[in-house]
Amino acid sequence: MLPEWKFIGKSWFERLNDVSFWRRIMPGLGGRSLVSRLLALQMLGAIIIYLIVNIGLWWTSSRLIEDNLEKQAVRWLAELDELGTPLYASQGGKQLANIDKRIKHFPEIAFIRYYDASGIKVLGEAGEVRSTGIPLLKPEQVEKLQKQTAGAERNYLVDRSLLSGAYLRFISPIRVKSIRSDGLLNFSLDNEKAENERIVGYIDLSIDSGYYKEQMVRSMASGSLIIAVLLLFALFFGSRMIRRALAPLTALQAPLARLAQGETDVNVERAKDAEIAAISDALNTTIRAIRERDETLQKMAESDPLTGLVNRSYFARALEEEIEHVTRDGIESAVYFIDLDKFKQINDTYGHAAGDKLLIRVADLLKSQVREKDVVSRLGGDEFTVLARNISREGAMELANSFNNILHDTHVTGGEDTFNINCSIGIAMVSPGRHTADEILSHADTACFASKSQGRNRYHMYEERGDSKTEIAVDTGWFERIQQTIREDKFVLVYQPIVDNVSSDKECYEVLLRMQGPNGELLLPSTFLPVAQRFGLMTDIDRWVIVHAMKALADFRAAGREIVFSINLSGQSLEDKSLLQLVKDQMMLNQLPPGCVIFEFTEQSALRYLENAKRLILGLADTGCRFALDDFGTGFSSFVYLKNLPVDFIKIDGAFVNSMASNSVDESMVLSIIHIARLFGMKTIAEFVPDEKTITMLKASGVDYIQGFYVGMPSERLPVNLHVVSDTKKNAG
Amino acid sequence: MQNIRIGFIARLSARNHLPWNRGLFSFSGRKNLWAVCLLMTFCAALGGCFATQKTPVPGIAVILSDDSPAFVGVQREIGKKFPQRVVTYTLGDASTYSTVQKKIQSSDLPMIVAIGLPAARLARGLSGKKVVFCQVFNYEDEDLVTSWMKGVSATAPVREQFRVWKSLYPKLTSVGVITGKNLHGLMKEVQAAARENQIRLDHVEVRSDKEMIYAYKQLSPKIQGLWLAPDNRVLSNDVIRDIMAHSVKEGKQVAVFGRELLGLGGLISAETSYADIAEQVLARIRQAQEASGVPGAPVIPLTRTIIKINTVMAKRLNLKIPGTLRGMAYAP
Repeated sequence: MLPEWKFIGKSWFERLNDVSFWRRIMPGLGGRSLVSRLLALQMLGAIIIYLIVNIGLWWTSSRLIEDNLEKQAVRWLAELDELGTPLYASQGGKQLANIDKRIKHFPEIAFIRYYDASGIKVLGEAGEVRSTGIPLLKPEQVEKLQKQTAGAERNYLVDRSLLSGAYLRFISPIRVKSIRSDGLLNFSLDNEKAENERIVGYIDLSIDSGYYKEQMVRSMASGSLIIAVLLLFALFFGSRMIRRALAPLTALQAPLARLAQGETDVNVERAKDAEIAAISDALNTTIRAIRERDETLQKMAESDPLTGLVNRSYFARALEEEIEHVTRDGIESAVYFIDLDKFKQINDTYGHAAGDKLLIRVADLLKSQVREKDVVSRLGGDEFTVLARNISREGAMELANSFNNILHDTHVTGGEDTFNINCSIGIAMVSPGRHTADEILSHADTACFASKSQGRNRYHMYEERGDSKTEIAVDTGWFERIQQTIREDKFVLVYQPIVDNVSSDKECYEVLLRMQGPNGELLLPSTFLPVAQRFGLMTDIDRWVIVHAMKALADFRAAGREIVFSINLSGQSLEDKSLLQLVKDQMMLNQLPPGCVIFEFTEQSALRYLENAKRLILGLADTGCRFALDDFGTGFSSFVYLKNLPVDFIKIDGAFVNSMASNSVDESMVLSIIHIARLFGMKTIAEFVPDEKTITMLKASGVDYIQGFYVGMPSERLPVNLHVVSDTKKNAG
Repeated sequence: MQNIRIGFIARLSARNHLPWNRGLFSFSGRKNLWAVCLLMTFCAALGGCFATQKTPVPGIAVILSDDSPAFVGVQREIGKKFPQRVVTYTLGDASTYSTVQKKIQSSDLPMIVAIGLPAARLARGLSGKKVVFCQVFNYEDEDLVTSWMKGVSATAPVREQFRVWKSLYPKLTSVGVITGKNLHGLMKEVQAAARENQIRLDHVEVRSDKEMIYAYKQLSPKIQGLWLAPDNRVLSNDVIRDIMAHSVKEGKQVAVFGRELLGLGGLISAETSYADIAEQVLARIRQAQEASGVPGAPVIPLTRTIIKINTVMAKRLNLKIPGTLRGMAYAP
């Protein structure tokens, strides 16, 4: 049966270093530690010393006892030699009584025998155990003793075999001597002549060594106990000294454990010992560095490196605390979601440095409008949030208004240009125990979205009921609805005519998108495209439009109508490298001839994805597709780009066209754009044409195409023919 | 003859029987001394006249047991005192005994002096010779005495010892003697000496030195002093030491046979004289010359002894040495 130890087969050294070994022996030791190992080694040393001392004591005592017994036996033999003389003189047994009397106070003497000169005949016997059947002398013992001389150093035999060593048997010859016959003449004690000797008998003395051994065991037990107590004392004080000596080292344990758990507000006390002091200093230096790094990381994790404002996570935490505060104190606070209007245009036009500069300026402006206790954060991009604590609804709106005003009144320079900052602000009130931080932020976002939808540079207070429709836009449910619409082909294409001012041979329509609402109503793109854009669905929508528009175009053309479709592409689609192949495939699939498809992308998208736009234009060159630059004139246009962007059409932004009849600046802008387009060999399309006067002006200025509700409303079905359109146009005029 | 005369006078003076002899040693003055010298010279001349008248001894053979001083000393004295041929044989290894014995047997010397026990034993095996042995203690054990072989005592005269002892300690009434067996001759002498000095003698016979010390311890309470008999059979160096130590411890007076034992606590020591031995030997030789064997007692006693008194022990035992014994005082 093997013992339970798991480390069978290990060396003793390994066992000693195996902490489980010591845990088994001393469960209180706990985990492996320097102190416990030293204590264990100290204990092991004490045990070894204890064993060595006891073994040494046992050995020494045994030797001493045997030596003493032997010496004692020698004395006894001498005395018994004299006491036993009558046995050899008178053959009487009376003297044995004297021997018994003499030895009765010496219990260690087991028995005494006197033999005659032959060693066979027992002349007398004494002692307590004379009748226990002790064997007589052996002939070889007698022979050995006879060979010994009287002057020998050890004139006796020791037999340890009696009763398994319990008795030590000493056998000594009884010798008589006589001086040589001539020895008395001129007698001298220094006479070197040997005396005559003869053996007249033997003494057989057995000493009960068990008696002494028993005494020795008792003494040993007492001695061992005293040694054990002394060792325990030594162990106790040794352990105290070890603990004291290692105290500076073990004192490092707690701070290091706290440090390991992530606490950095730890200070390691400096020890007096030079070695430990060096460790303490090093640890303190390390801890300081960690603390500074943590603080930096914490700051970085909670702040926006560009503006120095706190970031989204910090703001969310502050908002949660504020919700608890509001709930506890029954007050109200406000959360603002601020989105800069047309920041992307600024970023794209003047570069990221200008954009960053703008963001920093906005951050400063916002901070200048709030109190110390309020929190201003940058969520990312051009979005900021503000937590205004303990503020009423009216106060919240006043603060929002101040944001709008201060930003609007601020002039920012970009390159050589100077422009204003506009922002859309959504406000959500933090009411006691009603909404979570995410919900409140979502409400503010919704309100911001509503503000943006309502015309930018304004604020909108979130209303629980009134903003439900707006809220739906930011609801993630919209994401699924848009996807479902794409999957189920539920989008609706409508076509708005683009009239050629020069020739009416070809019909041209801009393909516009509508989405069926929950009640079957058609939703405008402004309702769902921001959501689609936010959730990255624009590419899917563009692909859906391309596929279905080209199919419709093919159908119309198959019906014998020479129709050109202008299809809008989002900026996200310009990043889609597979779009090129899709267009080619659809063109081929629908057997569309060159020149019947125009792709529009906004000036901003083109500028943002300039290279992608150029790649797409060049890639589709062999298909005969043409390209139009939409909303030209509002996106901080730079005519330089026109040199590098080989588009066929420029669509003048409707803002200029819409008011050119009444605003000379807008008229000049329109004329300038037309002029430049002509210089680059591009045709122009004026959208948002409001009236006939404008049409007249446009025609006079040489614009190639016109478009607008006045010219033709978007419709799911195409007019019967171009003439109808023209009539309508004429009727409109 | 002169030697014989001198020995006779000395023997007489030693015996202390002659009043005039006692007076001789007590004379004080040169005249008396000269008169004694003249008398001795006359006697010696007279003895020489008698010798020339008898059949001269052809010579003697002296057998030495070994060359120890006790034997050689006697042999030298014999050589000095015996004018005829003296042939000395010294025994060596026991293997040579028979050769020596044959030589002596074949020699023309009819008179043999055996000095020491081995020599006496060897001489016991001779035939047709007359033997006188000396320096042998236990002659009875060895059956050395025959009609043609007699001896001279090896022991100093006991009577003189007891006389001095009694003089030293007049209250001495009991003395113990421990010997081996077969010392009848000696013991008779001891008994007679004790009686003469009104001393009771307790004699114990033992078989070994071990018994000797045991017996002495048993005997010790009953006696005032111990006469340590020179019996080598029951004495060993250890026992002698034990006896002496015990005696000192118990305050027992011990008369010993050697001066050295005075150092161990003996009170009186009595030693023999080589010259006295030689004289007694030659006396027996001469007696045997005219007889068919060796006439007289088996062993004749010696006539002189050298007695020493241990002053240290005497003082310890509160004994006052009389003025007549002062000359024997000895401090070991």
